[in-house]
Amino acid sequence: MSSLYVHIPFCVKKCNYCSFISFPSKKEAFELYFGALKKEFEHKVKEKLKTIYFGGGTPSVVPFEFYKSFKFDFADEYEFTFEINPSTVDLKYLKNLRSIGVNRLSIGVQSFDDTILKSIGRIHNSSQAIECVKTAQAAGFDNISIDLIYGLPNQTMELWQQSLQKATTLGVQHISTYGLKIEEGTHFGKNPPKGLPDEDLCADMYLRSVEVLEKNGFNLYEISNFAQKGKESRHNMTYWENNPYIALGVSAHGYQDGSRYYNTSDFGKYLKNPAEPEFSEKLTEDEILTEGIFLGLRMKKGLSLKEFKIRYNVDFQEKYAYVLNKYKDFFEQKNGRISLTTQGLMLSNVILSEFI
Amino acid sequence: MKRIENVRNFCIIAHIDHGKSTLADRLLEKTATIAQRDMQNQLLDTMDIERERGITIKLQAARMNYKAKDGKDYVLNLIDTPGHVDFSYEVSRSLAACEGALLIVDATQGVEAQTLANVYLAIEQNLEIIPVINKIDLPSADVERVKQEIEDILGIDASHAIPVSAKAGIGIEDVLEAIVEYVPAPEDTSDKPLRALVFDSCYDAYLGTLAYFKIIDGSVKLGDKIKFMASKKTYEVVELGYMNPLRKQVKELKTGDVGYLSGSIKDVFQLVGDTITNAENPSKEALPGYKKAVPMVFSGLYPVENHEYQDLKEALDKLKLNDSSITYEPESSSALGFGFRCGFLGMLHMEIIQERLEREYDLSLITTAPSVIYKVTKTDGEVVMIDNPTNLPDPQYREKIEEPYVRVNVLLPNEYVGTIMELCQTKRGIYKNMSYLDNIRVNLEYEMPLSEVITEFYDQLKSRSKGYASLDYEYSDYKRSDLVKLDILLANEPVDALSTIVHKDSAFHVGQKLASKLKEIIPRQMFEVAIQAAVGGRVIARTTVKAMRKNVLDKCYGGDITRKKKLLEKQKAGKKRMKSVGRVEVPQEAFMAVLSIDED
Repeated sequence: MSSLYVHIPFCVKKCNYCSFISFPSKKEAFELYFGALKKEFEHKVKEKLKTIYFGGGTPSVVPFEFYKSFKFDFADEYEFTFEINPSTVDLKYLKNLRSIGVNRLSIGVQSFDDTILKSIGRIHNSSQAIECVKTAQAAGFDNISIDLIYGLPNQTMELWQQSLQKATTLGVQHISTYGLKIEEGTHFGKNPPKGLPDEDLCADMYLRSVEVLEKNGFNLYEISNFAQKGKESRHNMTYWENNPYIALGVSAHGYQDGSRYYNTSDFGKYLKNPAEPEFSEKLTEDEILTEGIFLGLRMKKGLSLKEFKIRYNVDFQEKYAYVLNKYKDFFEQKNGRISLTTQGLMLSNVILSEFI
Repeated sequence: MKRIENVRNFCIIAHIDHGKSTLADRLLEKTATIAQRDMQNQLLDTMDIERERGITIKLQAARMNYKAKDGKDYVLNLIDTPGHVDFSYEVSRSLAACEGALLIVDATQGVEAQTLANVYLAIEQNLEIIPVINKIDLPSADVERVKQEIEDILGIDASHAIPVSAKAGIGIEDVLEAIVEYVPAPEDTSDKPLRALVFDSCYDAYLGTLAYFKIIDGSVKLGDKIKFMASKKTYEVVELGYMNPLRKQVKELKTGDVGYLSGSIKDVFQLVGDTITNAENPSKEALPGYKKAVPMVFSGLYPVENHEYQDLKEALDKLKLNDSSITYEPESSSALGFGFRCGFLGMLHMEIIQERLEREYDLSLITTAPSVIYKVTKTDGEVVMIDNPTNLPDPQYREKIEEPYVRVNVLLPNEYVGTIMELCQTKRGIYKNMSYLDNIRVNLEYEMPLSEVITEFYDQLKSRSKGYASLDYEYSDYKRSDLVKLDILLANEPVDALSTIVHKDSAFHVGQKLASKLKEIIPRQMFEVAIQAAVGGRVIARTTVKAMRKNVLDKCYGGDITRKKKLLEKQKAGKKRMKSVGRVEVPQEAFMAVLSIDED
């Protein structure tokens, strides 16, 4: 059984903070791209699929007809997530998605404040986002996630709290909260915005997310992710548990048979040669081990010491006694698992870099 | 006296920025030593740091062939000299290899403090001095005024002064003619046994240690057996040549010539100041060597990575060959591990050495704040010299502390006298004298603790006088001062490498400034870090670096694990550049923070 990620690199407009590959939506480009995707799909997907994730870009800017022709062989109890932008879908589109097996939606809401949405270059407003959730529910979706971003220009604690509160009242099952990071090559990277909250405020915003969301039944299960019980993203857990996944599409990253690979970011090159990754490397045992640690410790539940020993043939506590001791206030151990505390998660770059 | 009529040995002395290296370039060009197309600006400055900073640090030699107007061919040996006050030791070495000196004075600036100092050195060596007035093409040039200054201030006849513009190439031939006409030819003692004075050396990966020398008596041939008289070591000459300005091999060099030799010298030892003679026909008496350079400023040099200690030692051994004025002794610090206490001629020298070690030997270093040598008399009467604040005996064991004072000469236009006197007072200067050199130019004399001169004095002097004041200083004596040791504690642990010795009256001010400066420099850590400044166990200033709150990748990266990993690797590399002092990660610049507490 496999997990599958499919990258859909099209957007109506690129957001000011976004560093993912995307291209303007054009019908001709869709045709070429989906033609290539299907080739790659046939080449790489051989097993039943237990999780599928269509991400972007904005998968929902592409008309439904392009998705119809994929032939998925689902495992029992599969999870199939599709990312949508609130202003690009209607009831019919969402019902169509259900008809091909999509059973989970990830909605890029980002904020419920219209001024902020505008300032970060989003094409939707707050009421469209709320409407979108309702439409999705009307279409029959009972596993919906929304993304929110904090640390945005001119965002106050009050505004962040309002967005969090709003998110908890919509009847969704999963909420991701991401911290804004200004990256090179993005619009914000070239035009640094004013009024960014400082480190302390961002830390407080993060803590507020944990407080507000957990109080409303959304439990922190990974650094940026909260879910109602049993509604954790199974596809993303694949990454964090250091398990293999197939990747399709331009610039997509995959991990299969102990090798990490990624596809070209060049649209033209991809069309010519969709089944050929641009880069592929066999990971050493050591690399697999360190990745297992720094991914695993992103999860609230952390690592099972017993499973770790079986899988990597390494005694975690013995090998990393130095790190565990140096940062002992930031680790907790119970029920045979070792994990980072909330403070530890917030400072995880410092701690996890010690394992590299 | 018999002379070698066709040879002239000369050097160029000038204040920094007066155009010495540019003039040297023009001379090389005019004598076709270097084809114009191969000309790289300021050829004699061979180190990258020299070209980047526009200064000469190491003396260099170059040989030129010149057909003078009298129809005869001459060999002109130029020995370049550094202009900065820190390097007067190098200046005196190059002067000893010459019979004449070109004295360059900037036509817009006039005579400056270092010009004065270097001219005195040249006069001591009995050199013929030829004044050259440079930059005459600039609108603000005032040749007549500068001539008057040369006569009034330096007491040198300026009637033969040559107006030039090295940049524009004006008057270059006049300079060459003047060298032939006025610089005495070296005495011809070619029939005597070989005696050559080594004025420089360096280490070459292929040739081993090279010696640069001037032949005073006799001659040397390829294949000769030679002997270094002081070290008593004997070698065979396997390569012989002169600088042109790159190395050019010859079979023989004679009296008056300036050249280099290689004897496949693999060990590293002190050559500069030694006399080379012929091993089979040795001279009886060695030449008088050089006055030993006295390091004035001391600081600790430590590798950031402890395991690079041995590399640092080897680098210092090799660098010492090329710059014998540095001294170093092993020391250890509880904060920094093993390193060396190094002595330098001055602050610029210290910076240059650190930079050369890092660049030429690929080391990553921490330099502690510079210190002078304190003379401490203990209660039991014992006198100890302290070059590292950490070693200062505790107050109850001290009878008194004395510190080195220097006599400072500042030359400046009279409009800045007020502000500069004020500066000297705040630096604990003792006023000595003030004299007008002419209507505008003033020479201010102070006695000042060396420790004050090496910390920011020069920069503040320049900024307060809009760059017009120039500085020269020389050691005068030790004076008793009311000094205390200022300690710094990070997270309640004293950090020996951050201790400094300060005057009692400024301890509070320095302590506060230093604590807040360190707060700026030390990044937030996983826990709160208290920074305390203390004198004799009493805390006089305190700041806090708040604990880091958030450093996490909480952005949507999906399956892009590579990017996650790169970020963590970057995090780790950033940490490596810092020194772990106890639990605190301290950036390199923190150890020099005391030097910049009065900025902005």
